[in-house]
Amino acid sequence: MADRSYLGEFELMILLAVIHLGDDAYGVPISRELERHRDRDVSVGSVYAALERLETKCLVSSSLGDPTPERGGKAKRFFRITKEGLRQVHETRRVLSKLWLALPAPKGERT
Amino acid sequence: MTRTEPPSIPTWMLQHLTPGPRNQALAGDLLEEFRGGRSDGWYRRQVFAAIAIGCLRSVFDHRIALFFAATWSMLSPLWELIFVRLFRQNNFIGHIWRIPWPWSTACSFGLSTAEDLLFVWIGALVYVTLLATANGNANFRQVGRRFVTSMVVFIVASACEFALLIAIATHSTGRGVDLRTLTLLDVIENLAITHFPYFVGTACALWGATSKVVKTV
Repeated sequence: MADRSYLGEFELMILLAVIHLGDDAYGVPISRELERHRDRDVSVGSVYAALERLETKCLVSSSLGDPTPERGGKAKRFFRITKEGLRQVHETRRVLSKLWLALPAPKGERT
Repeated sequence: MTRTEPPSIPTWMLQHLTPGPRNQALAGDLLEEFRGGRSDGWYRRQVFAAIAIGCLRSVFDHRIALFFAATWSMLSPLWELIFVRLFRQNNFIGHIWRIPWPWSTACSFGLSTAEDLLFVWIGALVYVTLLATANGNANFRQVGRRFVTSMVVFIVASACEFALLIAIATHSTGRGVDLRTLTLLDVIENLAITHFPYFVGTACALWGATSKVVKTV
């Protein structure tokens, strides 16, 4: 049985945002990063749901920060990519890059 | 002036209706964004989306239990048949109706509810045993705790079903059931109504049967 499973579009975006943000990857900056690149609102709940799935697959790990007053005394949950997560991102990029090579140009455009 | 407190009703809903261990971090994130200048409307949308996603995820996590509950509830007519035959053999109903009112009605109601609950609880035990045999990931203690909750849920669902059936009967007075004009949709509707209490009762008993392990650092 094949042991590889490819990442979904949203999961891949979240993993890339987590990598990009480094030590500051928690719900708010991850959502802002996605909003900036996608040019549309992102539900923070869906970001957490995807992060939970990724954590179940051991592609990210999480740790609690200190509670802060601007968050009503609630702690931030910081996410970090795991070794396996990074491997899967590279694998997904390799497969997608190969597939994109065969992408024809839109009609009316010259390559 | 910048508002520091978000709308109270969505905040209450977020605290009480979002399942899962992440709701504290999520609530903190939404509050941080709100205090950073997001609108009331944005906050409400985020809360409703978080609740909807949480509920859908919860249903997805319990999909096997829900499927089993739906299948088990379809067997309820067979269970009724067994009991009817058993009572007829012993003339049990006759004995009950010889008791003076209101004890006769109370006995009849109690017996019928006990019979239905027994069906629901046997279903829960069958499911947990199957789960334990298949992968060892069954939580017998949690199902035990759920027995009382499932009893309450079953009785409430039965009362709703009873009220609905009365409403349907009142609405269709004088119109008998004509088998020639009975559509598949009618049959499905009828089945859905009559099996509804068994389904919700069994589903409620099974809800905690699979314990999900969430890692926290």
